[in-house]
Amino acid sequence: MIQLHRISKYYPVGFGKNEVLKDVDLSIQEGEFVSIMGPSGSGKSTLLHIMGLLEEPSAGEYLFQYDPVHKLSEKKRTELHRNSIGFVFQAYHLIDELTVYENIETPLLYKNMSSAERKSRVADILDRFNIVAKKDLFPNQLSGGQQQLVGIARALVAEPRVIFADEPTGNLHSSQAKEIMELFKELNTKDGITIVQVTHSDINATFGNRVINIADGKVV
Amino acid sequence: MLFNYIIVAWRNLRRNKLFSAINIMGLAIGLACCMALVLYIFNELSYDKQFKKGDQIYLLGTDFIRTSGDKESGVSSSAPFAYAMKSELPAIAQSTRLFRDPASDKILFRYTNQNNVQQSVFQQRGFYVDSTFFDVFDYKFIAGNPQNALQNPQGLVLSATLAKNLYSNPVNALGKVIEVESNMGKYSLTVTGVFDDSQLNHIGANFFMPMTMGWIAEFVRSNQVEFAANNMFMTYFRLHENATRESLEKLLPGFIEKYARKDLTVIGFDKRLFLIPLKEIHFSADIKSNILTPTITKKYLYILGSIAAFLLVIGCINFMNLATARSAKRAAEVGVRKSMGATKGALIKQFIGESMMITFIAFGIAVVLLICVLPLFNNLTGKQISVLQVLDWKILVSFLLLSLLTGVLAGSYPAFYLSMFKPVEVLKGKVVNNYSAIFLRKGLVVFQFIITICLILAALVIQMQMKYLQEAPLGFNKDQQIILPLQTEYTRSHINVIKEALRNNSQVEQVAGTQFYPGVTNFGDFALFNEGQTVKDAKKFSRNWVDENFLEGLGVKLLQGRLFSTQYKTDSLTSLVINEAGVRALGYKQGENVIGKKVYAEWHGEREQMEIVGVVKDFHFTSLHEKIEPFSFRFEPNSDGYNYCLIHVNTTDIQGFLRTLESTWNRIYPMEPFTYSMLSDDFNRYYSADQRTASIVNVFGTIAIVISCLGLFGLVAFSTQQRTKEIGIRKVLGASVTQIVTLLSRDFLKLVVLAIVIACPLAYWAMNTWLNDFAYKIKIEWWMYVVTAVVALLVAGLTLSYQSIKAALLNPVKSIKAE
Repeated sequence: MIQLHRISKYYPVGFGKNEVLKDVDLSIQEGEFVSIMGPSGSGKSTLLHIMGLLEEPSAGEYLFQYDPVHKLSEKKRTELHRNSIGFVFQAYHLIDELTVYENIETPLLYKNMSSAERKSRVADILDRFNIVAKKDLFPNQLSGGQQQLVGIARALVAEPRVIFADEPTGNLHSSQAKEIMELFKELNTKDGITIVQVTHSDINATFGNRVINIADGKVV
Repeated sequence: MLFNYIIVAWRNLRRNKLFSAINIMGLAIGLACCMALVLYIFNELSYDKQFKKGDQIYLLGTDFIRTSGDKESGVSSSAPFAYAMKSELPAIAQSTRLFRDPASDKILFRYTNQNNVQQSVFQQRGFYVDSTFFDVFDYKFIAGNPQNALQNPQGLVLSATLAKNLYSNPVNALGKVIEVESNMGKYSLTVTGVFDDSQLNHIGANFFMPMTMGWIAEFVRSNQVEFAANNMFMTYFRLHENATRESLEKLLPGFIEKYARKDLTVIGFDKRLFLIPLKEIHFSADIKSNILTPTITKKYLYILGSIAAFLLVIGCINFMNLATARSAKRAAEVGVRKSMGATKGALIKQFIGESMMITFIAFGIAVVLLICVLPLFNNLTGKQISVLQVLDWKILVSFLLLSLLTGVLAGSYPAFYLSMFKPVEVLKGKVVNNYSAIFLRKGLVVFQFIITICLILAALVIQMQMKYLQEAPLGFNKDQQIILPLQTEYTRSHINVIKEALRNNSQVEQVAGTQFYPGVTNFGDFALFNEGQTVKDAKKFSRNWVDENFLEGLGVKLLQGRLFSTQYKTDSLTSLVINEAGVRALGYKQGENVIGKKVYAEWHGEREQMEIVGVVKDFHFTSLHEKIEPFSFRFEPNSDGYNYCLIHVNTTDIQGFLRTLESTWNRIYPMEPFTYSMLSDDFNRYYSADQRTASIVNVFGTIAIVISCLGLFGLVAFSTQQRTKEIGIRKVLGASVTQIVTLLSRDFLKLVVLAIVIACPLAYWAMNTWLNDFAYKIKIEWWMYVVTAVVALLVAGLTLSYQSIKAALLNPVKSIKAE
């Protein structure tokens, strides 16, 4: 599903350059649950952003579902964001001005879905995540764990093929973190959604079926 | 989707009440002011629009050129021009004349009203016109026939407003008989027409009378050939449709040669004719002579227009500044939306839409605001703009579009700016106040304050000049002078009775009769030259016929010789009192003894000899806009030759004295209503336009300052909010409150200082231009800049200090924790 071939990323610094990723080769199959681990500054977040099409590599080839992503137009990338990719962020990044329900609904609005279908999809997700009672609350009225739950619900509602999660439990305490990780596990095994997460925690990594270690911009 | 946007926009507004209020109110106030000023400008531009053939109507103007090269422009012509030009120049389809009697601005109406009660009231703004008048000016008649309304020598045409005042229903006035009395005599006139006066024109008439009454009838009949003197008629033409102004104006010098050359040679000056298109008459402020209603310069409209635009721009700048400043907060939302598949276009649409929604709300508030303050605005400007004019759909739609455009403009920068964000950067928190945004924001603040500072200096200079005008010594006594207009033959011939009656009153210093007084236009003039000169060297002197008490009553200062007296038989024949400017104009040195010197006027070859008996110190017969010109007084012995009675009182209880005066008046003139005016009020009317400019600049200057400060307040509030953590850390590290306040205010105050540096020369130039309209004026001095700068810094400093002191006093533990 994801194939990286000699991917590099560097930023210009003075007369030289600061290499964040160096010649990364990597492939992830459909249905995998992959954890990317490594020390701070090793380039793991950058790798995730490149896979999630939020950032472009400086060099190398990237095939997403066999499509060469580096040749895709802006429009095609937007299409992929709408239909195939979901994001979960460490800081949740819910829209403060929208309620739980409206936050979850937003991705569907960008897919131009009919109102009736939107309603049923959001209702399903609320139901599944057991947050029906909270649907009219605003993000700042929820605990961190609940916010992240909404974040995941929002990532799932558009039924993506893959979810990229950037330290999804970084701001949560351990019991909340465990719930979130169990949820990921369930999504992976039951729904067959590919999951790629960046994490610092060995425990979190055990929920996945593969660990990729990164140090100094290289897969080790 | 749209609904989602609206919800986000609305909740954003509600969540940030302070910023929303600043944004919306700033814009609403700016819009309301802009609308008010645009309505004012429309009102000024609507003059003379009601005449169907208005494009073909012209007023005859004349440059009077003396041999010395002095030129003076006027709009009055000698009697025969109108019809001689019509017969000589085929381009002219119709011509007509209008005469405004300078000697009586009030005319007595005696009539029977709808309840059969006899009434007598003074009416103003009545003019004598030729029977062809309504053939040139096609007023809309609501009763009567314009074609023959004035064919009847006993006809009288009233405005709808006047007819309504007299007979409650304007249509009822038709056919009614009104006895009209003025210094033309007493006439019974029949109302033959009522015209619609709901639209503005430069004539501003309340009624028209035929030019077949009193001495004017005789004058018009006998003056068929005098083309040089007696310039007292406004002459209008309606041209044929295919005729052009340019081709007609080419023929005018030839006309002067053929008809007027002979008379002009005799009289000693030259005339150059020109045409003023009807639609430009209202804007002919450069022509100093009287054009029926007050004129304005287009420059003034440009100034008002720019103030309107400035206020709107200041409001928009606030909007853009706060929007870009706050964009950091919205950045995360942009990032998330992008990661969910929002396109750049969708985001731009969202943010522009949001800003349009805010401007729409502001527009609603602006309309309500404007309607609420409309009476105040009318009061300020002396206009009568009605709510209906505000609610006119054309105005509303154009302002709605204008405000939505404002929304697009104000929203576009933040929209493009925000949608450019790379999602990764904003999500990582690497935001966002890039250099160009900060630079733009600073530039806008500077621009705002430049405008504000210019307006502060303008207000100050105008205030000082107005104070100077009020307090400058005029060379005569302006206060405690009561004027009684003598409008009818009876009052004129009985002036001695009222003089006698008042002379015994201990409150009265002096009672006098005069043709004119400072505060009304002195229409009389003639050209004088001294013993060694000829008529070619003659200089124009204003001339006022007065009695033996007037100069003393007015309180002008005698420098040489004596004032008029009944003891000297010659006073009524040859004596002349002139001012210092007159002494110089005759070629004598300042202070040279001129008593007993002979001076001459020449009229069609006949020379009149006069003798100077007195010289008075220069005084301002008219406003300080004008230079003091040569002035002369002559003694009028006939008691019925005065238009006004001047009473100089020594009491401060003017109201009490007026009651005595009224009962005296009613005893002597039981047939006539008592009217009076204070000379000081009449004189100050010269400055009413200046006063108006002053109040407009004051009011809108204050509003500009308020909106600017509102914006500054918002920006500071935002930047302190952003720096809360920094402030907390600094305090923990030992910074004092003063240091923190300085830290937060310094950057903004620097901008204000920069604005002061840029604004001062701009304001100096603008205000010097304004002052140039006055012959007597103040200088713009260095301390005015200092005051302006101090005011600007003080206002900005106060605005800044609230937020920064609040931030500086915050408990650092809280602000650090807040992250």
